[in-house]
Amino acid sequence: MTKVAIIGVGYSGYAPLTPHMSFKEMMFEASKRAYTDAGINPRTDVGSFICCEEDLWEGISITDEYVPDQLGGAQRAVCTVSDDGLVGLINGYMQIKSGLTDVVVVESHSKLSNVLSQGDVTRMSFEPYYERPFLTAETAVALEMRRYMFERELDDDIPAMVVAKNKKNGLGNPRAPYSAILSMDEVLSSPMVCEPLRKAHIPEPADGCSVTVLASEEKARILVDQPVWIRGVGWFSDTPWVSQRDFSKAVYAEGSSKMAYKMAGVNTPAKHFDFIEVDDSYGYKELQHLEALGVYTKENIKRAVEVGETDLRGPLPVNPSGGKISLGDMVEANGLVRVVEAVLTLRGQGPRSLRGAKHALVQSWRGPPTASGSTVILEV
Amino acid sequence: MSLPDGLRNTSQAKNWVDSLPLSYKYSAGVSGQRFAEGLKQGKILGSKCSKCGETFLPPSLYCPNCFVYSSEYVEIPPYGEIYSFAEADGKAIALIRFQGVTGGLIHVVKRPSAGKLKIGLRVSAVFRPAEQRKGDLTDIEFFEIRPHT
Repeated sequence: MTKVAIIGVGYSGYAPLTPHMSFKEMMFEASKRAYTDAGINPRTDVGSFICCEEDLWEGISITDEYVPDQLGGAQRAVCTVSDDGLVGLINGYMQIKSGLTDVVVVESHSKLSNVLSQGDVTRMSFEPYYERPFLTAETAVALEMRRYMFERELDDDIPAMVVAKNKKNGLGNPRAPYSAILSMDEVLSSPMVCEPLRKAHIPEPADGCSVTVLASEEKARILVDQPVWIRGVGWFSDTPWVSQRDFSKAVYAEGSSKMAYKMAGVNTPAKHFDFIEVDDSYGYKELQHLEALGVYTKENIKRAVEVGETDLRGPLPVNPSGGKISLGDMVEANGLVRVVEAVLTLRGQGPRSLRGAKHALVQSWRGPPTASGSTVILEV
Repeated sequence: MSLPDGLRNTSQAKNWVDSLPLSYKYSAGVSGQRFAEGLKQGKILGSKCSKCGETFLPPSLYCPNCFVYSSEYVEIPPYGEIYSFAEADGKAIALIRFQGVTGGLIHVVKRPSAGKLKIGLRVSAVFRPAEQRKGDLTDIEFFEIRPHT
């Protein structure tokens, strides 16, 4: 079976507000960039287009009806994967791997600044009878955060250190609108939203669109000099019941990474990767995810943060892009946003300290109240 | 990138607002019905898998592990433990877990008059008077800390 590569990436927006363009224009701009990067013409060279979005975030249902034209996909094979962009990428990978087609475009975007009822849209995703009456996104997160920190015996300063690290990493990334030098004290004195969750822990909403072009090995070698290979993929769902989960563990990240490691032949994840992009929502999620990926353990995760092992210049940089904390929350696009960051870094277009990086892992989580997520292993 | 013919002045940025009222009626289903009837009688019901014997709360018609019918409902004593809690606007929401049960209930916990809420504290459900019960989770008014803990 053919190998599958990412041969082009493009993006648009990546800002708190984008009042000057519609979501369709944002997709047009991002895809133009990706096609220029890959050196392809979407009208003649692409076998299939996949978009990832949720109707409720779009404000329009059956969204897949409204996506083809601005991607160069008019009257072509187009579908929507109603999931995180990383799952769309995995679907594109499978379409090529199975021989169905040899070039696939995967797109995902957020126009959160247009959503006037963000809290209600999130609440609508809670189970209506048993869980919705008492939960908001913030309450659900605070419940898990408190239990995770209790079991790991973490003080408030540990998630704050993660937030400060990722805010700082973002300063080196021209695409990260929420980057900043933020002291731990500033995180710890930011307003309490739902104890123990503070405002500074919460990724801020952003608009943005990411596009990737995937190709078979044969096509990739003809089209580009620097293909980024997809070596392993995985996706996984834990129980939908918030009340039945083990809050100390990200079961979905464990399951999806095991699937991806098996495919890529990764036996010692702690030593395999030059850098890792994980979902870092609320600070503590980065730690919970790193444990689930088998990169750190519940015994050594605290120390890893304290001594700066995951810093940009540490032995294993985590979220060199600045993560969701710096890039902003782009809902269904979050996973694909990080793929774009990882691809650019593997090509030497990311942080200077990561020039020459060859192995990367990208992990994504669908956000509250979900317990599902995916993992992709990339290599140059 | 700036789009050709794009806006150059934010005061010109046009948008329009639309709002659709959406309402739903959710079917409780077989297990939800049983749970609701239990609440009206002041009981918390879980479902027990006939194959693996695991008890689930919320109850369900099927066991997620064995994928078989869970036709047995068991009464769960209304005494549990705070697995975690979150506090906002002077109110505390907790996930209450019960011994020998997978899952639990997310509900309001009444703050103790003395001392602070803590993970692991033992709590009990306080039901509304029978004539006020409607068959939903508000039939439990709140959970309160059990005095001897």
